[in-house]
Amino acid sequence: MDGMLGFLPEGLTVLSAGILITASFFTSALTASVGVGGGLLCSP
Amino acid sequence: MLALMTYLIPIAALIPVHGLVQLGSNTSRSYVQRAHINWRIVRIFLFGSLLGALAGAILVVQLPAYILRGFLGLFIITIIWIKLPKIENPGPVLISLGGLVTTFTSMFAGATGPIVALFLNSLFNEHRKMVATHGATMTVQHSLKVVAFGFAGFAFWEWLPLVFLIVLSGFIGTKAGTLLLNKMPEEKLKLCFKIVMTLVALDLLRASFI
Repeated sequence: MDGMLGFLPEGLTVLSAGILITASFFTSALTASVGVGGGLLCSP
Repeated sequence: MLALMTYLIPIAALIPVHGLVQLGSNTSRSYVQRAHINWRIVRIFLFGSLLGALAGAILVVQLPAYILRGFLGLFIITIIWIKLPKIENPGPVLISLGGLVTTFTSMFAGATGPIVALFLNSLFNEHRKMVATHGATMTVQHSLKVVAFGFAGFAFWEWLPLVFLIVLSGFIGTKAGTLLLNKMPEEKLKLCFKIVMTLVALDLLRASFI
């Protein structure tokens, strides 16, 4: 786990990185299939 | 991705890192769907985008996020559900103007994908050509944005390992989404597009009021 932290920018946790990587799969699949910026679906 | 990133990434790095991630994911999408890209439209779009990026880099004006979200939400709902006159063979000026305005906006707001998608949607009869060309035009936009932030001194190298993994995951997602695109009938895709875009717009409106 410590080794992984070395690859992450300061202040970013492994959990946060995991969430971003997982979300990328789903938003990209949505974008490729229906042609929209899927990321906006999670806007706060 | 942009909205999710606002919870997890420092605000100062948000727009540049989002731009880099989107550059990677749109490049991969363009590669996977390259056979359907309309390169003439991309070239014309690039011309306007260059002017938009230049103007955005010069003008340091930033509207509050809630105004941008509210405007974008209303704009999307209007375009999707109100029947507009069909644009027959739109000329280079109109396409280039779309590149200029959306790239300019992208320099401040980050995510203009839905606006570009709506703009291109009126230019294509076949949905998969619209999706492929949309990927190529967004690659153009995010390339210009990354170059601009790079010249401004943003340290992209710190974020490269994470961005690589996000883009890799996105590439796999793109392959899965493209399989769906190729299997679904054209009419169903268009209906899905309208429904998803409406959900996006409603969420943007909700976010602008809360």
